[in-house]
Amino acid sequence: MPRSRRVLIAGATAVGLVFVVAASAFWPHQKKVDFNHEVRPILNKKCIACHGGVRQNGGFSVLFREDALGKLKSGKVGIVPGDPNASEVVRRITSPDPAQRMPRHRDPLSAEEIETIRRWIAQGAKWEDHWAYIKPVAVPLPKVSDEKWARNGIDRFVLARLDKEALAPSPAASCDVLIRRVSLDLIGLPPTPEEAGAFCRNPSETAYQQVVERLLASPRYGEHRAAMWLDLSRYADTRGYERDYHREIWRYRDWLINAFNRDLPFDRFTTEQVAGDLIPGATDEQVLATAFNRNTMTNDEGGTSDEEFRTVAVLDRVNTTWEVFQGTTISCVQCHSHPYDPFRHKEYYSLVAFYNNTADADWNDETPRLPTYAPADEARLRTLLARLDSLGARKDMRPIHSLLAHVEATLYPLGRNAASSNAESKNNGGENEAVSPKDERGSYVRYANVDLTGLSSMVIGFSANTRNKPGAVVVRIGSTAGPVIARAPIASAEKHGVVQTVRVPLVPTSGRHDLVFAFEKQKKDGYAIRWYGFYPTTGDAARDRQILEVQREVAAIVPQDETPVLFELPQNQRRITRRFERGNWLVPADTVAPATPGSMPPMPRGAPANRLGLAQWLTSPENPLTARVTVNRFWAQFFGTGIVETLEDFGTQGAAPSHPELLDWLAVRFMTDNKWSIKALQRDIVLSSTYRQSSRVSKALVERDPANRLLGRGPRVRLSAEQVRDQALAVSGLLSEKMLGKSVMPPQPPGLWLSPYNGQSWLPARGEDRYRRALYTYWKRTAPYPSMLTFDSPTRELAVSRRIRTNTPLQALVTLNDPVFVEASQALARKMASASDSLDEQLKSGYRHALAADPSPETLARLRQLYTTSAAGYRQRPQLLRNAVHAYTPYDTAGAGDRKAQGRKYGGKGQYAATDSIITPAWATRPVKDSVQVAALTAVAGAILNLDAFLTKQ
Amino acid sequence: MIDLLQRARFEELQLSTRRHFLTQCATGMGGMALASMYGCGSAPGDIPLVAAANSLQPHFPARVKHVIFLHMAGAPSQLELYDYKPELQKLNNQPCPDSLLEGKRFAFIRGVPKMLGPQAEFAPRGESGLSVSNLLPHFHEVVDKVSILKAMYTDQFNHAPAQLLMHTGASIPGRPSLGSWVTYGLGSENENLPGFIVLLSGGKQPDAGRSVFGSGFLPSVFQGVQCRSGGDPVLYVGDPNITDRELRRQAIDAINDINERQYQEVGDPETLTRIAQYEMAFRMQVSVPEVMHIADEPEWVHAMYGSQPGKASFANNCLLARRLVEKGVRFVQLFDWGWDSHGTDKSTALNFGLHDKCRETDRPIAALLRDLEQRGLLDETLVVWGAEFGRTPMQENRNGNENPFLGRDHHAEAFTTWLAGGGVKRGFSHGETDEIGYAGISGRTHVHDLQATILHLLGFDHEKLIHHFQGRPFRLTDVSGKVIKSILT
Repeated sequence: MPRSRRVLIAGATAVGLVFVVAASAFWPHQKKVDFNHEVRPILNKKCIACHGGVRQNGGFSVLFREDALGKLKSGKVGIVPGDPNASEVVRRITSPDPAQRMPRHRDPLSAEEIETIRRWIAQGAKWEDHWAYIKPVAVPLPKVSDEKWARNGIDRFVLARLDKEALAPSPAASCDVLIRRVSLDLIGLPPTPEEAGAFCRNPSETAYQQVVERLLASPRYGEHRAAMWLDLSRYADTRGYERDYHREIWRYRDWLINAFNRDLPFDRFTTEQVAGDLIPGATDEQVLATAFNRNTMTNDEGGTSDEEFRTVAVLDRVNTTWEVFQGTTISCVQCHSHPYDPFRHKEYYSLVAFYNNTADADWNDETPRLPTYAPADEARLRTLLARLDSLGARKDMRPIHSLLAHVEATLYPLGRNAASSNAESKNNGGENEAVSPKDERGSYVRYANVDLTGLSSMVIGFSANTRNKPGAVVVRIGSTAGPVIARAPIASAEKHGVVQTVRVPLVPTSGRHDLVFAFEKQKKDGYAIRWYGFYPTTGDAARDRQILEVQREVAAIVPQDETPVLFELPQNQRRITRRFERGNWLVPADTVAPATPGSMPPMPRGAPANRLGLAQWLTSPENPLTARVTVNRFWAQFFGTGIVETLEDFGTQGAAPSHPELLDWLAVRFMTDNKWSIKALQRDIVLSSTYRQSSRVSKALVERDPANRLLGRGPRVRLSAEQVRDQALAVSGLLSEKMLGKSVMPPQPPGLWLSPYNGQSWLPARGEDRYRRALYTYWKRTAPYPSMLTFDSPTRELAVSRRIRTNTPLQALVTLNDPVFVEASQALARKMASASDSLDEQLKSGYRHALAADPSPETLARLRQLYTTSAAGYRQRPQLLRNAVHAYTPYDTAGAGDRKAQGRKYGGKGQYAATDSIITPAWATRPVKDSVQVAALTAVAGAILNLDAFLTKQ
Repeated sequence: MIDLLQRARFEELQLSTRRHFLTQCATGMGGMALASMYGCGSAPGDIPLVAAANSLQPHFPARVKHVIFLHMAGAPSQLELYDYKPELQKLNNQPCPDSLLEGKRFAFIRGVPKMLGPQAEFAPRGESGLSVSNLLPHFHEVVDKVSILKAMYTDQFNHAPAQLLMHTGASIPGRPSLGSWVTYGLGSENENLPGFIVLLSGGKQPDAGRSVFGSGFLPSVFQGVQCRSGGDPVLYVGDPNITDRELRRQAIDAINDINERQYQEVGDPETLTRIAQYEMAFRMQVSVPEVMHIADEPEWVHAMYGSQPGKASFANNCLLARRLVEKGVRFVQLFDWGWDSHGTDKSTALNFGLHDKCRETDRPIAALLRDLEQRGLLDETLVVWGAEFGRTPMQENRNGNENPFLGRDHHAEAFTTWLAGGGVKRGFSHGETDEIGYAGISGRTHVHDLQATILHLLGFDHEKLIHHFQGRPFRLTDVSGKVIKSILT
């Protein structure tokens, strides 16, 4: 570029001229343009909407460098590195002709922006990845104004930023505020008055550290952490869509709680959930973790295509993996290249290919499932498995390390679109099932080219209508008239649509053949073959028979429950993954293989091209996103907002980090020093001075920094839906400490469960299950527990990273009138009454239970006033008075008649009997000395449980 | 009280966590609606808030202020109600030609089904002469008030996904529903009632459950609030039996006094909002049961609707819909379950169950249109009647076998919807299906077109009512949708 021209440009304005003269050392053309800071914002704001991944008007796109440098429709070239004058872009953004000038119909770029683009092109139009796609590196700790305040690295970055803004951090929070905050943050529950009292008597650094260690070691810690992960994993106890049946998957919730409690390092935490079943020598626990991705919905509505909803579930697994571990919204790439971020349409389907080969396929019985046995049964099972070993049964045909479904080692799902596409079914419309023949047009399923060499027996999974008479399914080779190689008698079904299995010997056959499945002696419709599998021969017919016998014994052992998990299809049955044209599964296009996106680092050397390899890539130190996204997620749990506010989107359209160096420092520390320990990360956070600041805020500071992005004060946010419930139960002494197990149904208003064709109903729990922590509450997707929704929880159909906090009158109605909260106020009132004979002491005691602090004299006076007016009121209202001293349990009779009938359907065998009487809660059985006093204290307790301070972490 | 509330709202809008929400929303309407969803509304006096609201008007003048959406869950047969096909009668009992089956997917039909002629009598009705069947005698009298869309089509042929598409614009759960988008854009006119109310009848929720009235990724304040005929009309709106209005008032006063002090001390604007919301909750405890109490309607009104106080019925819900709209509720969504006429049993038979459903709904729907009109509300209200899809011209043969009763399978390619109210032509019909009612041949309108039209009548350009979430803009109509101009006045 001729020098004179540059001078001309720089000198075009007086300001520029002054700049040139005064600062020749920073001669504009010599200053390196920073693509991410200077150029990308211009492209993203002014160009990418029409020249990105979706629209590429004129054949020009600024998403990828190679596209931007390519030839346009007009034959010109948009960007010619090193030569702005030859670049069409420069001509168009500077054109005086409105018809030519870009951005079209918008304000022109400023002179400064034009100059930036010119210089950038002149310097070679170097592209640089968006910050989040560049691997974080160790950042040196900055110098700060107050060395003493800065307890750890977090504080240095925060204070350095405050220094720059000429702001000072807030003073430390008082001991009672701090212990309540750290308790709510680490275990989700408030401290007891005793815990708070002990800490406040000696609020030393050591004492605080001890409090933190106690909380990190508490079993309640894992429960609290799991709550957030349940949103991410879209956990629910039902399957979604129309029928929304029960799903037995609570063991995954328990896996999460245990994983957090034992501080399973996050890299392993990730690997086990993404690919636990593929870990060599996987344990049952590791396989169970893959239920993470079985929380996708299953559509049991009559007449739905299993392949359609299997596809929906697979795509959701891809989207969820990317949102949860990569903070990236990949779902738009399903239909077209990403409009803003560097992911191409085809790359999405390469990601789908990682997930497209699991055996599950939207079946009503949700196979494959991991069985859990009663200890005695499990012992017997292990003995039988050992016997199979000694008989020489092939090990890959049955679980060794894991008890995963014995039959599912060689699953062959039937169907046109399933498996390796070598199946055809003669039946318009029915894609995934063979139905019994009615006439000569009756259906069969043909499976082409199946290798039968060395197989001794087969297993067939079928479903049937209850009204069918017994019959048989016959397997022939070649054609519908070919020789029979297996004949499986099938009984009529116990339950409509439930898949049953039958195991039969196979006529020894070698070589590859077409298999034809057809029904025999079936007048009525209603049988469908779902899948089949084979067991290999040992080469010795007698031994094969023995093996079959043992296998039958194995199959006869009934598990306690079975959890849906991921299970990879065997090598010869892999599905072929294709790109879908515009995201439409009915329009498959070219074939793709598993691969990570080209704009990201490659997969680690030697990583397999399956989910395990994907997990290795996610947890590789080269992956720029995993650690950042994760530390940010946990950070937001403590501060209410992430360093990157958009927890779910680290792409170019997400929010910029408030403290980029801090984010990188935390991410690097998480991967290296902390060895992916979540507890270590959280210890760093809560021990920082930043975290310990008071959340009081002056009007001036609110105006300066309304959302506390500078972290010049402590966090102050409303509690989560779970915390709101748990806290009320905890401070009133009602909370059950029972951990883990089946989900429970605390009382809720009757008439909320109205799913069509479902037949299941809410059976209010008895005893302590009424008072379990919120995360154990049964989660029905089409009708979740009402107060959870009111307090902003998602419905758990799709992964959600961030709950939007609202503040509504419906929330007030919950904490004022929901019987759980009323009962909590009654129970707290009893505690207050028995605390002392002095009214003030009683009031203080209630306040202390709730807020771990003494009320101010003004607050105490106001509570005393409420007590007095309430006492007077109750004296005049004998009926209300009587009610107030009895437990308020209006929904307990709900569903009583359904109990026995319905109990079984939840897998809650024998849990409830129709005769169960309503049990008076323990707290209400103690005699009341002075009922006016208790009633008035109930009013006061109710008010305390509704205070802003109580509903807020401050 | 209003002062405090407005102060809270203003500070909140300006300063608090909603900042992101506001700035993210391209139109900014969400922030404004959030402010007016509960409380403050358009009360004069607070200049900054009013200014903020005024600067965020809809895209063009609205034709209607309210919507009542009558969804017949399960999908009624258009061929027995509105879309008369004499040719189909001629083909009755003939095997379905291959051309109608090739490459098609059906929910239950297998093999070759038989064609099934109309199972009702049709004649021109009203001055407009629109053809309506004998199953809807009351509708004959209001047919001149509606615009019928006869060539509606959808992408989904199963209930839950199709209902989701109809109400959220997408067939997978998780997106905001129509009512949520509308209240997000417009807020509510009544600060004492939720802006988006849902009423269910038929004994079941719609197949897709709460997702069809959920707020998706919009704040939970925009969720549809279900009002029920049994128990608390809105969950937890009733006082527990240990308190009454006066004692409750005393308690809320104490809570709010202490919270006010808390605000002085800590300075968090959220505290002010909470104070306002407790006041609002206290008022809602009166206003919700009041509006739900239909017993105070005169006898002639009950006679007109066929409503009976204390019962859960579609008739009661129609009457409630009128009362709610009268009180300024923005969006009233009715779901009536039980229209799935497969013919697998008597209740789903075209010649039995369908007759019962028509009897239950015909009178109240006609009454609703007349009642709105006589109160001058029909001009500012849009009433939509429809379902998630239609039914096949073939008789269902479940899995290749004859069904015990006359029935039709789910059909995505043709169904009927009608609209009535402000801005909509009266006694008008748009779109036509082929001679057997299999598919639209002219004036085809997709679910997204209907949604675009509803938003249009409320003053919104459906392409501009967007919310950014997970790094991309979302709108109700996804990437398509065209306003059905021909039915607009």
